Amino acid sequence: MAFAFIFMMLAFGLTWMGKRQVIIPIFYLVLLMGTFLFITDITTKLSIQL
Amino acid sequence: MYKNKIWRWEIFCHVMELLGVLSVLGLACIFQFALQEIPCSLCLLQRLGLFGIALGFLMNLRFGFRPSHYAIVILSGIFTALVALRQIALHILPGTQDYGIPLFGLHLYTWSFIIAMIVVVFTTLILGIDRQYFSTTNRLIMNKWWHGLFAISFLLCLLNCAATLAECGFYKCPADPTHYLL
Repeated sequence: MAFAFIFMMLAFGLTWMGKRQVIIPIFYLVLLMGTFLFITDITTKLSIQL
Repeated sequence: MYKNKIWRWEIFCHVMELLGVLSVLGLACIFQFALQEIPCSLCLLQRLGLFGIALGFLMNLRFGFRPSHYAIVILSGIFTALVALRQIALHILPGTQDYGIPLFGLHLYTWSFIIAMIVVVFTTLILGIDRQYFSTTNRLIMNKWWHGLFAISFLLCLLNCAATLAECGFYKCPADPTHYLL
């Protein structure tokens, strides 16, 4: 989770500095990390319930 | 004149939406530090999604209005709504314990879902205004107020990053945390 926030912070910093090229790939990386964590959370709780 | 009017209206909408999202994130920080509410893993994922929404709006303000920036806002909004809906579903059954202190009768995850859906619908409406893409000089001229807005967003993200590191380190965050790791 902390890695996702670090990359998000990087994206904010780059937006402020005006470097557009790398922000969109960084955002999609963060979204991928978030989706992975979300799916992990769902599957963990499902396996406990089952 | 007309283009200028549209541009000002778009800037106003963006700033309002951005301030709305930043105030929700600020409120979450107040709950965390002042009321000692440690955020769960799903709460942190919702915050991440809200930061994504703020990032899309800031990119529109900094680099000019582009569909790719609106895509960031909508994807983040959908992500936030899905995570919030999952958390609502976990606590919706009678007898299941809710998480956190309610605000105006609703829990923070319910507010998060409502705000994410408002952002998705509103952004879909304003991205359909074609005239905003025609101008090649629709970038913002940065002054101290705009730098202040960027600084607040960055510092809020830095604060959340530090808090997440203190809570979970570089590991997966617990579903029901009771203390900070550090």
